[in-house]
Amino acid sequence: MRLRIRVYGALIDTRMYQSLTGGFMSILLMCFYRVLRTRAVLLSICFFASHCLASEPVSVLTFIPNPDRAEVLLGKQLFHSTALSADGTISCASCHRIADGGDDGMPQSVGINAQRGTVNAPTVLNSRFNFAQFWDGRAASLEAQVEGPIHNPLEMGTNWHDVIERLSRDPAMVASFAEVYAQPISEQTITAAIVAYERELVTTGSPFDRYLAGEATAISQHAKDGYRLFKTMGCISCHQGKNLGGNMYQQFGIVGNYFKDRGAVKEADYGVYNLTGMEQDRFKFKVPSLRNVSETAPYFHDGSVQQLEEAVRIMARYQLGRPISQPQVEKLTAFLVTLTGQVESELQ
Amino acid sequence: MNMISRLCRYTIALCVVSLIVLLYLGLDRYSKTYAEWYGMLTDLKLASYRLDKANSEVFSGLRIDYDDLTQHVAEINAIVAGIKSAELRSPGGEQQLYMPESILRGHSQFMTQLQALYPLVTRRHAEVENYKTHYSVLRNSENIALQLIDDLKSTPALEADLLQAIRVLELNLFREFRYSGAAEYESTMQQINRIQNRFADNNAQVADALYFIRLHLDLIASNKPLVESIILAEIAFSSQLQRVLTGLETELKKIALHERARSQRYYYALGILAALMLPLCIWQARLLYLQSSTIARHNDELEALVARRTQRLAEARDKLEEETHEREQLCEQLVESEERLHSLINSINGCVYEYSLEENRLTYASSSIEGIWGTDFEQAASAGAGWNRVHEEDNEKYQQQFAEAMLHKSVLNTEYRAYNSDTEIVWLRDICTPIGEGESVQRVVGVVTDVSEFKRAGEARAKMEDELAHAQKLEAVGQLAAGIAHEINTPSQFIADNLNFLLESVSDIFELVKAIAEISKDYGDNAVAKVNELIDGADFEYLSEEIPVALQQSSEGISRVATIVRAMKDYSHPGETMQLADINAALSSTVTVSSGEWKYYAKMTTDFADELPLVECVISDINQVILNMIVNATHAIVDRFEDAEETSGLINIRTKQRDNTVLIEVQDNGKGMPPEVKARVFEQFFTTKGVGKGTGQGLSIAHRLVVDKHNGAIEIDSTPGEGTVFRIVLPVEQPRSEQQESPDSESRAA
Repeated sequence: MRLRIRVYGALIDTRMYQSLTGGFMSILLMCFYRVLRTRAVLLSICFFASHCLASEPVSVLTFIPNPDRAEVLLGKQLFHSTALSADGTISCASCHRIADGGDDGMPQSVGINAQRGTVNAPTVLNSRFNFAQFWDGRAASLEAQVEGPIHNPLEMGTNWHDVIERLSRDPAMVASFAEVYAQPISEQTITAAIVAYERELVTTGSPFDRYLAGEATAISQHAKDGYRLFKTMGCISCHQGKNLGGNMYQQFGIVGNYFKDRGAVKEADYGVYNLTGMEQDRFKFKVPSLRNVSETAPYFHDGSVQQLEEAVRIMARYQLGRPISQPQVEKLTAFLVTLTGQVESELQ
Repeated sequence: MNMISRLCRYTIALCVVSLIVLLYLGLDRYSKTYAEWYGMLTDLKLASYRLDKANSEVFSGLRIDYDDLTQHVAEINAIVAGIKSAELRSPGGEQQLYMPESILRGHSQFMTQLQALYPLVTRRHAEVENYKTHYSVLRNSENIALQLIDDLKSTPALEADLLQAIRVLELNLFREFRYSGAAEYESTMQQINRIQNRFADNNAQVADALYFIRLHLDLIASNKPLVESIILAEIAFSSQLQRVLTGLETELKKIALHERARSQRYYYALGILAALMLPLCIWQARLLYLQSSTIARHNDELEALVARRTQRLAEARDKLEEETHEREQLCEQLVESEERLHSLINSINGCVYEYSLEENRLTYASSSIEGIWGTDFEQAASAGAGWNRVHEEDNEKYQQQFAEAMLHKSVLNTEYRAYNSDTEIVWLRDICTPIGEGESVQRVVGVVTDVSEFKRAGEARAKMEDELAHAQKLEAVGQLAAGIAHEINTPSQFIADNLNFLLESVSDIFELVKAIAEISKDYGDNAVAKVNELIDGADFEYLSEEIPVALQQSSEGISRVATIVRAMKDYSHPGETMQLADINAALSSTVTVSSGEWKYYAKMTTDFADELPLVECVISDINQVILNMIVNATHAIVDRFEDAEETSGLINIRTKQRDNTVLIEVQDNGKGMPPEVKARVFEQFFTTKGVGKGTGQGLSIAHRLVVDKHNGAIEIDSTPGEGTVFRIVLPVEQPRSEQQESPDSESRAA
């Protein structure tokens, strides 16, 4: 039964889910299947129809703000503090510029001692909606993510003990901590404050969200066409949900061998494989969110592509395995640009 | 009894301790932990179900996005993290105070089973991730393959053969989607190859499309079994997870039941112990109750007693207070009354005293003693019997009276003169009462008043009254004077006329005689004729007739005047002393004197008794009284007959003797008087006459004179409109002794 529904569902989905016609179609189907007089089928059709009517693969970005503003601001202070790095040159904000799409615009970021990182710095914006952090998802949560860059010798290259010591030397910082937490400066309180800040970095009010919320003129017809293409061409299969991605892993180069075409395969390109050691996870990465994608160039884990249109083409080529025309690329790009929202100005 | 009671108490205490111990042992201490565990397991179960649901939604194509899947996986992870941390808190993780072996065993079993849960969850998580990855590819490939075919089909100017081939390919694809078997894959591939071989060489579009379709077909072929196996694995894992969870729940329930059974056993023991304890407790309670009730009763009784005593005490106190108060009041009243008495005693115009006969001295005297005797109390007290300094002249009488009063134990009321100072003498009135038991008299209480003033006033008054009476007498005389003057004037008139006539007559006679004498000398013989002529001319005859008459008349007039004057003299007898007097004569003279008053209004008749004895009296007083009566009678008559043409007034004066008295009645037929006037008629200044006519003195003086002075009586018998009778009764003899002793006191007493 499940299989059958899936099949019909797939059929109808692929053709109809982009418009309300799906609803009417499901009613027609219902009439057709009434001939069978199978109650289970009827029920499943009703179930399907209701979902078809209600379900949109992308939803508006919403979140409940942290009521403890002092904690968030302390997090902001820490996020911008170079005391978190070994030589005091690097802060979180060095590579994650909040006002600039949440990344630094470089293929690989520069850590202490001018060292280059291995992968492109992902944006910190909307990271709370990611199902895991880092390109390879090695941190299950933001809390787990925090110590990553701190301990990474290529990035901040330090440890908690030194960080706490350095922070404790700053009376203003100590006072700020005392204001927010009953506990002294510690790994936990630093993490909690930074996470509290990161969790507030949500880009709300993007034109596309407004369009989803019912404001028909929020995006251009071009972008609307792009959204339809986004759904029909198959982008939506991975870049779905409220964050348009960030909730699954996917192999880079499903249809073609991207890395072979690009050349110079490094360890970092193995993705999840580096964690699991399983062959099936080779070249697998977390599907990144497409929110603010126009702000987060260069693209992909290797930061190899500077242009969004080029990135779209590569995606069509290696992930979808289908030809794509220039108008389609432009429409898709127009749609992707509408995904750019704003972080609360006080937090930038 | 006491011993048993104590034993009983110890037993109860022991039982209570055992009860507490049992209660502690029987306590189901882990129920909360179990509930927590149970809750977490249930949550996990629910999350697992929700994950299944999300999975099936995605798989069936109802949902495109994986947000639900991701969320539920995160949920499960969170619950598992919770379970892991709860492991530390569970009974197995932490050593408790008391932990039975069976419970521990149950817990260790539970924990062992729990360990099987974690890899399951981890694997499930991994499967979900795999599923998301592969399913994305699969659904895209299916979708894109069909789209490519659609694009191909919609190519303009498509050859019929090609279209047919494409349709076949589409059907193959559908079959492939549905059954996903190797055969379907093969047939689809063959169809693709067929189309490629036939059309692709000269059609780049078809070749491109076929390239991609083949790619996607391969993807479908590789991913579809994967996805399906993942789905099956997920279902398997899900059910395995549910099984494990159910097993865990069962284990948990078993442990809980075990625990409950254990605690129940303790509670049974507890109940039995309590049941055993109950009679003991009841007995003890009863004992305590009895004791306490006895104590309470005693207490109550004591309290009641105390209350009664207190009340009685309070009452007594109140009474005492009341009495004290009363006594104080009495005292105050006493003091007050004493003061009042003192002030009264001291303020009265007299000295209150007490004289003791036994001690023969004055024992008390009010402060006014000084005003009376000029000595203070001490001096008087030391003076002994002669304390009251009686004047020598009165002393004998006083002693006599005093002795007599003592003898009869009667109140002594006497007056005497006493020395105020050594020279000054005062009149004192002494009223004293002998006091004593039986016959004897121990002391005398009395009051002495200075009556000197009174005495002097009495004397003055008597004198004044006498003066008044005298004045009235003079007034009466004055009143009479007019009448008397008239009475005298009338005869005097005609006596004077007669005298004038006689004077003229005498001169005539003397001329006649002279003429006769000359004639006799001149005429001789002729004389006789001449004389006769002269005599005739002189009317001698008339003279000889009239002169005697005139003389007679004059003589009568003179006698009349003389009578009146004598009556006047009689009336206004100057004597002030009692003398024997003829009442009838006195009445006659009064009637005569007063004739001027009544003569023109009434007829006066007198009816005097012949043998009337001489009466001892002051005759002028009686005259005055009778005159008043006559005047009043006249006035009454005038009042009655004022308007009548002729007067028919009658006044009758009668005298009679009755035994030792003489009765004088003055009757008139005047207007009489009503009883209210009659009652007041003797009051001084009372009068019915108009202003100026009467002073209201007459009858009051009459009353005083008759009754007081002469021990007589005056009665009035009056009928209004008919007349009045005044009766005056006079004793023939005045009581001698008193008359002599103190005529002043008599008059004063009256």
